[in-house]
Amino acid sequence: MREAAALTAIAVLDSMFAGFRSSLGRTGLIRHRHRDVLAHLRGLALSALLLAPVAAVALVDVALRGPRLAIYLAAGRAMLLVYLPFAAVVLLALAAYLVPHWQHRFLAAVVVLGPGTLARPLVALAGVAAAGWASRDALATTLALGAVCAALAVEPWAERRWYGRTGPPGGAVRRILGRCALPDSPGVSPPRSRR
Amino acid sequence: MRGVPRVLARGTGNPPPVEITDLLGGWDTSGVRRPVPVEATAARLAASGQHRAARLVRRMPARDGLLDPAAVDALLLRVHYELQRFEEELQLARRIAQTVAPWVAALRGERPVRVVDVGCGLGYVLRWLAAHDALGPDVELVGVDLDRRLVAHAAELAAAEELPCRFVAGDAFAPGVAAGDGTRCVMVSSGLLHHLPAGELPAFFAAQRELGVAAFAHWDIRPGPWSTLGAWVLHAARMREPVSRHDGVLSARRAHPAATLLDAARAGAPGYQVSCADGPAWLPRPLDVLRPVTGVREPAGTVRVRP
Repeated sequence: MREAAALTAIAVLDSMFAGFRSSLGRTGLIRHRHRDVLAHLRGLALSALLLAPVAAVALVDVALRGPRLAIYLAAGRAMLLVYLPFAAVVLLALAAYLVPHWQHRFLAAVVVLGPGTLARPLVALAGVAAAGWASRDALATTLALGAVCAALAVEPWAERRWYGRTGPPGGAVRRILGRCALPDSPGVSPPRSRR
Repeated sequence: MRGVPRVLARGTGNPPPVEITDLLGGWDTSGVRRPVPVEATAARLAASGQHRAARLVRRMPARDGLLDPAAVDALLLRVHYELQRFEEELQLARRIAQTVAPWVAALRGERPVRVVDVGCGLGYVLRWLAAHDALGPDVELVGVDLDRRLVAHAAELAAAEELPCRFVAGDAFAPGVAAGDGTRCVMVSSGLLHHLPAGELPAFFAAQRELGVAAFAHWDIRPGPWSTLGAWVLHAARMREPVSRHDGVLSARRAHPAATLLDAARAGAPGYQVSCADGPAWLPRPLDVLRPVTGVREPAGTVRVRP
């Protein structure tokens, strides 16, 4: 059952990071640690909700047909072969955030975490393919696909549910807008806002 | 096409590519957003081969052939909020603090030193500097942008976290708007220079010289194939808005090389010690993906011999 525990740990981490990503670029605050923690927990909760049916079907199947446990374990081992190296690289990059030098954080974000986010759906699907190849079982492969789809759905769902709005929390921008005077002087090379 | 990065000068006869937000963000001096005609904007983008960008513009909400101003405002805000997230990952504010802090320390005296962010957008850099007290005491942080809505949001965000910085809508180089006593002022910007054509850069630097600012540092993307690749990967991974993705990659493609910036700074701001370096384009230098062109006013009486 170590396979199930390892896959669960990966799913927990992935869902928390997905929740975190969905929350970024929305409030504009500088100090957002407590909001980050909340976003992690929201991702975790959504993931639990989405993965519960997949886990339930697998558990019922094993309860009714005991020998099929070996099939699920083979599928899980194959998925771990794909996911563990990826997870190790990501965790190593995240460790750079514990280092005080901003250069390490920057390199971790640019060289590993950004490309890793882009590669994540492909890696997830590669895990499904590995599970199908190792188990040669339609139901196990379908459940693996269902689990991966659930994991990939966490970020867009969290964004739609909690982070669709852009702006400072409890904003009263309109009040301030009225106080922003625009001088008439044309000046030289009027600066524009950054893209 | 002199001054335009080579990659953008191919197929001469067509206008150079332009960012979508450059065509959406016009404000007149009375503070009213200029109307944006859908077809003319899409045609401008299509003329430079940006057909995907043209489709994005045609899909935006419009009335009577003009883009809906409320929708444009909302889009620009979303783009800038996403951009802040990107700036956090690029550690932009830390980079700026590292460069500016010694200048501020040298200027510190009886009166406060002022740091002005030109084209501040949502004011992330200044708010970060304020939140972390990165430049020490007696420093006024002032952000300036022509976009009143962005300035209002910047002020609101600063107020929400009780940060000691302020934001002004207007022309940063107009007298009395932001620079105050120029001799105690440091001007910074980030991601602004590539919005200016090469021909306008000398005037940009000259305006700061006329204000007599003590120093300036303007960050932009170091152009090259690695920056373009990195911009594509990171924007695809991080940005949700298609406009952000389009404009982000184009920003890297049309960034000015160091030589162009140096020439412009020397021409526009004689009497300043200017510097900017790119290094070989083929060498990946991820830490230097953003680099500044800096200028420090030389003491009176300094005689420089140009090579």
